[in-house]
Amino acid sequence: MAIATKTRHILRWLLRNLVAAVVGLAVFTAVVNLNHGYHWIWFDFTGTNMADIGMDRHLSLEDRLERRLGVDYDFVQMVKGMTPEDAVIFYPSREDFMATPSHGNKVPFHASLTDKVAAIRILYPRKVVVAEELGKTPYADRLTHIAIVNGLHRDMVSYPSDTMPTIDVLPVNAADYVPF
Amino acid sequence: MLIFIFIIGFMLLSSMAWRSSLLEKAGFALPVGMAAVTLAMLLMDWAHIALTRTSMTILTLALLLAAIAANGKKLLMLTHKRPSFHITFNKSHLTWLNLLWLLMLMGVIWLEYVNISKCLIYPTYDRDSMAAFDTFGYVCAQEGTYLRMSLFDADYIPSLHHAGSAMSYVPMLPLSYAYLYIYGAATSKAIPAFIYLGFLFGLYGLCRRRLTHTASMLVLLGVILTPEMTSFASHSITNVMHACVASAAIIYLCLWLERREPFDLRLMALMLAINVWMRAEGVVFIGVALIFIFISLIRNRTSTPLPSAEGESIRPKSRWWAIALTALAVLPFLLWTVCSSTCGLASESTLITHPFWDGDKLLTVWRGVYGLLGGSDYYGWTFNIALIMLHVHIFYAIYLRLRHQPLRPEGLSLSHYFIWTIIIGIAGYVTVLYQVDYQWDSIQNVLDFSAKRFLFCFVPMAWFFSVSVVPMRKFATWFERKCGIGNL
Repeated sequence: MAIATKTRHILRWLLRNLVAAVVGLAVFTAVVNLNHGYHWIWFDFTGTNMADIGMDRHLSLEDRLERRLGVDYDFVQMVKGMTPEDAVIFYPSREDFMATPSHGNKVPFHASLTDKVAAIRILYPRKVVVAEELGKTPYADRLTHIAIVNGLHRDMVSYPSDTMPTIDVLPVNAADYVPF
Repeated sequence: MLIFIFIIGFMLLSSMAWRSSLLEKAGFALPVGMAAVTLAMLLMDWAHIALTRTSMTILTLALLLAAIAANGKKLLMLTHKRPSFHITFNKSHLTWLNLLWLLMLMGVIWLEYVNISKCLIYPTYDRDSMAAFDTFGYVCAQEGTYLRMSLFDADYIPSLHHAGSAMSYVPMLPLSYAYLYIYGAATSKAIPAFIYLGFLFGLYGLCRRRLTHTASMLVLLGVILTPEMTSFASHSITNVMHACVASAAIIYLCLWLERREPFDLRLMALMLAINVWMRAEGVVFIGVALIFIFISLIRNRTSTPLPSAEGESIRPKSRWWAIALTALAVLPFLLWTVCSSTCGLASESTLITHPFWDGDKLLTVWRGVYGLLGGSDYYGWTFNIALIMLHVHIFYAIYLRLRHQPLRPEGLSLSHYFIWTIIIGIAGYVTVLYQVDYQWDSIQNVLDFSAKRFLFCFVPMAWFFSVSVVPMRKFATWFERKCGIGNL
């Protein structure tokens, strides 16, 4: 008799919990389906990020950054690789990154690294100079390299550069230029 | 080294509030430890002591010893007790356990797992961090100084000396990142990852002070489901981390106002100090706390002192101490103001410091903030639910009045304090946005992209309020009685 009562008691407790869980899940499902924000965080945010994490977890730190920042990161890495640590580099503006080149294919930049401080994060200890500082800061007078995107600012070097690639890093002085 | 920072924070919290729960101490240990270390780093830098691996190790060990010494008596008492290694299972501790709580816990764990994985897998890549905090921390670590680093040279980056630039931000986060980079970390993302994780523990501990387990887990689920907040939790910018400490400070304030536990007041002041050390506009919450403490002291001036659970009564002297302690929370910001101005880092102010009237501007700001609060894309239904629960709260108070019952029984006052702190806090933020001189950026830009992040602070408060409304709490208690394992 006591066992039967106990069993009934457990079953009632289980039933209550199941009802509460079903109601809770129904409310939750309704909430994440009715509200765009909740839908995004529960399905899109978690789904996309976990899929990306699954693919990227074995990559190096640089490759993971490249996956997030796109070709902009490749470009800054190229600038870093082609310049010495004491270089003073002219860095293109957002407009330069988004411009259409006069010839050749357009590289799909996202303009994710157009801020000077953000570029310094990768290029440090190289010095970075941007367009609005030209003629205004002492570093602008000490430029050693020009970072070229979409063929722009090639006129800043002291030698003919019209036929050179539209994405490049050119030394300001002709003596330092080493063609491929 | 983050372990040492955690221990420093844990010990400092223990010395200030031995009786606070383990969840609170563990949850808020990292921001407290980080705040202590970064304040010391700023003072060292100000005194021209290079921030190197050696100096950081000495600093960490010194702070660790000081934090342990602050708990010396209590730790000695613990060692005198015979240590017990028996793990006992007491069924009565789990009487509340139910299936719904477990399901909500699974939801919280899943979202936090995604967040922490994103933090730890990807280095900093968000534009705002790379253009400020993370790069400042990285360069500081390379050059061994923050106040005199090359980035702040006006000849090198003149734009950082313009109004509203990142150079004028309080440096807790950049210095925290610098601390990691000094020890050779490849990325600084461990800090946002563990501060947010800790916050979830701390918030649960805070909720448990007044709410049942199921209600506390509902608060946690509500917070972590908030779309914009959780998506920003994996970024290295200050907003979410600031929201963690600012909301904790206001929750401690409400808990103190309700029961007058002295340690709640101390923890509130500590959290307020960290809040203003993370983001300068956190001074709004110091203002909110001062208003509430002042009003409560005026109202209680003639009444009998309230005994606290620690057995201490709120004597007239300690009433004014409550104000002084809260006002002292502004010290980290003052320290930064002095350090930055003596080192030539003070940029043009973006605030209009004199009072003025511009109805159109106020209306634009209010419309922007109202649009953010009322819209459900950024914060889900956080504020809509809070509004519904406000009506429930009001109707319940009217119901009590009609039945000639006291208007402030246990619990009703807590919701009351919460809703007023949220309202006055939002009013404070509207005032700050109104006082900003929008020459460095457009008002619409700030309202669309920055203000939405300012309001993160109110998300945990709004959820705590919604679940702390008395009918909701009664329902949660009834639910656990019926569905808890103790009913078996």
